[in-house]
Amino acid sequence: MTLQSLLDLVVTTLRGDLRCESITDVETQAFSEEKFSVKVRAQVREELFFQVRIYYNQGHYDYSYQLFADRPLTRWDNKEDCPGLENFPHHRHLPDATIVASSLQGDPAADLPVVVQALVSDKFGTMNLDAAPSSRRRLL
Amino acid sequence: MTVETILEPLVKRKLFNTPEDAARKLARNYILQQIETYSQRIAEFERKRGMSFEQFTRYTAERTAHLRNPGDMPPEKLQILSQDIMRDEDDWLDWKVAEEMLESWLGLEAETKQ
Repeated sequence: MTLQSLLDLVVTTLRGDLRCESITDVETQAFSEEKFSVKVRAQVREELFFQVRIYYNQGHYDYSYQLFADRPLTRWDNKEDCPGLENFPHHRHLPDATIVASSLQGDPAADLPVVVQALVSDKFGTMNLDAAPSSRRRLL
Repeated sequence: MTVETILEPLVKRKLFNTPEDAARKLARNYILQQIETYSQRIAEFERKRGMSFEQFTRYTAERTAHLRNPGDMPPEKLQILSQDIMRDEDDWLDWKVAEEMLESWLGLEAETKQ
């Protein structure tokens, strides 16, 4: 995937599948075709934002997908600090302060639709921001 | 339009000796700008966090481990810790990109010196 095709994928998904009201920030950085990053921030609705951060380096993606209002609400990422979780290092920070395994794979083309679907299913903030039961252990 | 045509106005005004000299110096200047940009970005993170990237990596991992094994921490403090960790991890990824981009541009700078 090139920087441009990654950016197109992100923007198209946010505008189409997530129906974001507007793309508020776009930042790209590139060193080569094998090393680049994209950060896109979109307004989902009033005072609710979604940020996609993807860093590609020689075949590997670091990513974070984060929903936030005046504070972070939920976040998927693959920072390697949650050993022991199924599908390590992919995990999700839930609004109830738990961290659970996620089914993401580290491939934006496959992962973004999963994240968007989860957000839409949770109806964004109407997951009540504090209401996700801590017993949730399925892959989110 | 050739590279020579593009650079000719600069050579004509004696800003550079030849088109080749102009291309070399402009390319080098671009690389140095990138190095400056990422160096500044890293310095801002170091100032903001009061530590190096390696220290911050350990710090975020320790805080996450604490969140996963919080003992009898009250729920409201857990919430605050969780939100802080998400903010930290946002900075961490930006910082990681800056560190690795700087390393790459420094490598290219060394390569173009030769």
